[in-house]
Parts: sequence; C-alpha cells; structure tokens
Amino acid sequence: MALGVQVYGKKPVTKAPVGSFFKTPMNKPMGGTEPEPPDSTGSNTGTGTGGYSTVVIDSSGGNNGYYAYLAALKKIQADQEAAGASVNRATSGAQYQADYLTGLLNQGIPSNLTGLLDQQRIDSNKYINNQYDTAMQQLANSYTGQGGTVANPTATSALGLTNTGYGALQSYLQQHPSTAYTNPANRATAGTVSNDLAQYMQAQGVGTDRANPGLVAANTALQGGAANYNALLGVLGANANANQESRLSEQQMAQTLAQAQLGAQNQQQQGLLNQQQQAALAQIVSEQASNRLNLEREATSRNQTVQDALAAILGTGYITPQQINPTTITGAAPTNTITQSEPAVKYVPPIQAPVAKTPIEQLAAIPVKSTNTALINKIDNFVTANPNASLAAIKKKFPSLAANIK
Amino acid sequence: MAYYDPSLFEQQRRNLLNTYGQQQAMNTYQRYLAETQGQRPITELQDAAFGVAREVPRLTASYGKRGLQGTGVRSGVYQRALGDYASTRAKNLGYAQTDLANQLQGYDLAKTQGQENYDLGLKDIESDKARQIASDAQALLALR
Repeated sequence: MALGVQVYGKKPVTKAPVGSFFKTPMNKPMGGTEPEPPDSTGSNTGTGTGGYSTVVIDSSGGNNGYYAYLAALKKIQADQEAAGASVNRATSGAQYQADYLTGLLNQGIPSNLTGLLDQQRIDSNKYINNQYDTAMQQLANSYTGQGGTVANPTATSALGLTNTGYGALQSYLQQHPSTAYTNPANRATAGTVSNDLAQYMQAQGVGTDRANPGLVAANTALQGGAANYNALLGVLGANANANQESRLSEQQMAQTLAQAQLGAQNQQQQGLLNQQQQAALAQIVSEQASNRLNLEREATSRNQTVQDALAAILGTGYITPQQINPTTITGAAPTNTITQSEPAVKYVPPIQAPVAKTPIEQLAAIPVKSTNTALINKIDNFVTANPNASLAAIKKKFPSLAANIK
Repeated sequence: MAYYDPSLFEQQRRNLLNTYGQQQAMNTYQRYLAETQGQRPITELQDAAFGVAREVPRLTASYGKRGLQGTGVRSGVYQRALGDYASTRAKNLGYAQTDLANQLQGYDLAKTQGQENYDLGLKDIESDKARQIASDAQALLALR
C-alpha cells in the first residue's frame, strides 16, 4: 500500500477499484470541517477539483479507509500547524534578533568609555601641570628663595648666597684699604747732622760758618735719602691704591657676572621645565588619540559584527530588511537613539585577482609616523612630481625605504 | 666640585700669617744687625772728637805748640783747620747716617712690602671665598 499526497494542482490518482478505494476532495484547507464519512453503498466517490489536495489511501476494504483517512488528515493538519508555528517562531525570533541587533547598531564608543578618556586626560593634564608648578616653585625657591625676589633674595637662596659672598668681599675690601705704603708711620724721616763742635769752636774763637759745607752736604744726603725712600713709598702706595680700586671693580664685575650666570641658569631650567611640560602634555594628547582610535576601531569592529549578524538573519529569509524598525537604545551605556531604519549590509565586492601596485603606489602607501613631516613632505612631493617613477629611481631617492618596495 | 669649606680658607690664612710672621721676624732681626753695624762708625766718628782719640784737643794742641793757637792767638791757619775738621766731621757723620738710614730703609721697605703682601693675600683669600660661594650657589641651583 502506498500513501501519497498530491500537491495542489496535480492530477489525482483515480485508478483504484470502486468499493475498495475511495477518494474525496478536500473541501477546505487544513483546519476546516472534517469530511463526511462514506455511505453504505460506497458510492461516495468523485473527482477532485482544482484548489484542493487529494489524499488517496489504499485500504484493504470496509470503513477502515475512512478512519485511516481521517487520521492521516489530522496528522497532516497537525504537521502543518506545527510547521506554521515553527515558521512563526522563527520569524518572531528573527524579528526579535533583528530588533536587538539593530538596537546595537551605530552606538559608537560607549559614553562611559569616552567619559573615562576625558577624565583621564583631565587628570593627566592636571598632574603634569601640578608637577610643572611644583618644579617651577622649587626652582624659584632655589633661585631667589621662598618669598624672595631678584632684587631682594633670601639669604639661603642661590642669588642670596652669591650676593652675601660678594657683599662680604666688598665690605672687607672697603674696610681694609691699602695702607702699608701710605701709613705715615712707615715714611722715612730725614735725620739731621748738627755742628756739635760749634760751642768748642766759639770758645776757640773760630767761626762756626766754617763747618757749614760739611753740614750742608750731610743734611742734603740725609734729606735726599729720605725723600727718595718716601717717593718710592708714594709710587708703591699709588700702585696699591690702584690695585685696591681694581679689586673693588673686580668684585663688582664678578658679582654681576655671577648674578647673570644664575639668571641664565634659572632661565635655562625654566625653559627645560617648559619643554618637559609640553612634551608630557603632547604625549597625553597622543595617548588620548591612540586610545580613542582604538575605541573607534573596536566600535567599528563591533558594528561590523552586528551588521554581519543582521545580514545572517536576513539571509534566513524569515524577515526582510524593511521589517527592521528603529529601536530606541536603553540601558546604562548607550544613550543615543538609533535612527537608522535599515541595517547597512556591508557590500562584499566580488573577489578579484589582486592587482600589483606600482612602485610609486607602494611608496605612497608606506606608513610614516605623523611626526616625521619632513619624510612625509618628501614622499608627497616625489609622488606628485614623479607619478610614473621607476623602482630604481624610487630606491635611489629613498634608500631607507627600498626594503618596503618590491 | 668642592663646596665652600671655611676651614680651607682658615688654613690658607694661617699659612699666610705664618709666612708673614717669619719674614717679618727675619727682616726685623736683619734690620737690627744692620743698625748695629751701621751705628758703629757713626759712634766712632762722634767719639773721635773728644773721646779716646781726642782729635779736637790734639788738633788744637798741635797748633798751640807751633804758636798758632793760644791765649790771644787766633791764627787763620788754625781757624781753617778747625773749621775743615768740623766740616769734614759733619759730612762724614751725615754720610754715615745716610748710609745707615738707607740700609734701614731697605729693611723698612721689606717690612712694608711684607705687610702689603700679607694684606693682598688676605684679600685674595676673601676673593676666593666669594667666588667659591658664588660657584656653590650655582651648583645648588643646578641641583634643584
């Protein structure tokens, strides 16, 4: 025996013998009223018409055929209902999935992560600026002292120590002028020779004038010696005074030079601190950009995954892209509203044989650090000026990049 | 680099003072010797007139023996002789005193120069101290 289901529109099987075979049209689709039971004459036969399936059951005879038919009919009905429910579940599930995935589309970087990034940047900048302020204050304290100024530095600051040291020298020099040669006590006093025979000569009736030539010569010699010595002291004293003035000038120059050197050193260290601060801030900006780029990359990748999943759901055929409705994103992290009504299914271009890049295209595609503007400009200028440059010419122009070009 | 160390400068000052003191002592002693030596001919010259040599009385006596000097006698020869003697004596005394004064002034000059050098040495030390303090101040600023 065989049980067959004639699909809608097909010609039914009618060759079964009367009385041992029956056939009945399906007056209604599944779920309708049950067919009438067969009469006693067994004349309930007929030919199915269009729009109904015909079930033919090969029975061994009697009313058993009817019940077998009915059971088969119910089974078919149940199967069809199960299949319909399955399709409904699949469609509904696909719709839910599509809605859920659509809700995940284009969320970008979660706001909490961008908030963390911003806070990190703020904290980092604050830290660097605090470090800079602290270092600058320390430098100022070392240079002029706490609360001190260039005009009035504290005694323990570098400028204060310098001023104290040279101030002490100046005081010492002023309090100790060169007096060795100018001291009157050190000057020579000319001795004199008197005529101690004058009284004897007068007693003898001899005039004292006769001793005058010797007296004059003696006193002249004595006065000359003293005068020469004092003149020598005068020269030496003048020289010493000049030296003293020179020392005072030297002290002033040395103090001025030391102050200038301290000032220059202070400026240099301030410049160094500025450079370090700028470098640290620039590094923070760079790290922020890198972190944000990574987050963008992850968001893009996540979006692509969602799109792929949506495409896979659409590919099942249970739903169509038009069925995907905008969904308002709720939850802690995503706060934006999805406005896209249809998922953007990524276009997959047909696979094509890779086309080899020309040497100049390879040169233009070599990644170069953004900070290396000189090399970037050099490559750009060369590519612009030499769009058809040969491999040899490129390697000659950019020997350091030759390994990256084939 | 060497940081400011007061003991280092005190050591220099002591060395300077020690050298100065030794030189001054030596100079003073040499001056004493020179003065002693130079005073001797002066004293001999002064003593020669009426001392042991009794040059003046002998000169007068020699002219008296010859009747050129005595009571009521005042010869021109005697007067010239005594006058020349007095003049020569005064000149020699002056020269001797000048020689002694010159020699002593040499020691006095050495003493004065020693004093000046000592003062200059102290000023050099003070200058070095100021420079060292300034250098240390720069180093301290660099250490910040």
